[in-house]
Amino acid sequence: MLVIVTASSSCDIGQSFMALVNYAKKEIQFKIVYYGCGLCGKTTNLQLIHERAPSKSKGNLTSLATSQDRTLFFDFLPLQTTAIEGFVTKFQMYTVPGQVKYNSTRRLVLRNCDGVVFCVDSQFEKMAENTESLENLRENLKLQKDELDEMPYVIQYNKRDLLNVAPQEYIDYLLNNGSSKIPTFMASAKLGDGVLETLNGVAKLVLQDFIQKYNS
Amino acid sequence: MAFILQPEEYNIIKGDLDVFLNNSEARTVMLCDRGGNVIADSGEEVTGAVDLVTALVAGAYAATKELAMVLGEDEFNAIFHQGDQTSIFMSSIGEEVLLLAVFSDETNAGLVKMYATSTCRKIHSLVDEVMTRSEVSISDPTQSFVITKGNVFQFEDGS
Repeated sequence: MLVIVTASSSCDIGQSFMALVNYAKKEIQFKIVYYGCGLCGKTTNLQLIHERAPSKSKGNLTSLATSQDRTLFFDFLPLQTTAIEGFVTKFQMYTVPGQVKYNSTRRLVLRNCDGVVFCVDSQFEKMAENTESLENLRENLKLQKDELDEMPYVIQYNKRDLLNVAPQEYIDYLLNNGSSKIPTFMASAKLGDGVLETLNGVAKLVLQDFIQKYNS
Repeated sequence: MAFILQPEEYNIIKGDLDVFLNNSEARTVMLCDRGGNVIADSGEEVTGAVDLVTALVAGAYAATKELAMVLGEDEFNAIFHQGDQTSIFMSSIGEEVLLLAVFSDETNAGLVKMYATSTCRKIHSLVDEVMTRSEVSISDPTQSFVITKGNVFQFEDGS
């Protein structure tokens, strides 16, 4: 028997709670979540970042996956920079499980996140899954009193190395059609293209958002 | 919104964690938010893995909360995992913070739980205060944040 546990809409996820600033340790922590439909390349992004980031600025990559290497809970990669003067700036990178049935888990991983990378599988036949996943992201953020359009957020058009990919304009039309355009990055995480650019894109937005809110 | 911890608050929390360690004879104690961010820790260092431990604890706690709700509870506010040599005890502090104690078979779960419960009670009011205050922005002009120039991250090949 298949039992799908879905948290009820009355589930108290609590108010969204973001960056953690520790003045005693001169440390700031941010949380970034890679979101997207199943097999769109979220884990591959983190694997590549882990492979290529300098050892002094990264921790271990931990994947809570099934025996078939599908993400069951999340992947986790801690990164460290000196992006804010005088503070050690830590970015905790997470992925969510993309499979539809794991929505409760996605909501748990989204908790307290400071920025989102929405990872798109660029193949034509995946467009319905991409739009469904984006809608799911909006709904899950709303449950924690966040609005996607008001938080640091970038879109990565992944798998651009494949032959059956949709044109950028078409994906823009489907997924990036709001009044303000969301930063997008062309990528092939498998080949390493666009991964660093996406990471820097979202990290900059997260930092700017933080500075804007707290330097007033 | 941000969770902003001033040095004096951090020192109070750290002091409470030190007392807990001393009384309970646990090896390590960590405080994290429910998103997995480390707030403070004390005791033996979990080499290079504090971030990972708190990320997993936050995940495990959140998953267990869902389980509790299925069974008609709001949440299980204390969780205990027993190993052969190392065990852990997790407890919630209000809505946003978790306490994690790692201990060996040199002490016992009852002692750890007793002191953890009283430590959580002590820290609770301070944590609540920090959370309430964090909704306003920092007014001290000496505490402004400046982003360094250039890319936030670089890969090893210099790209």
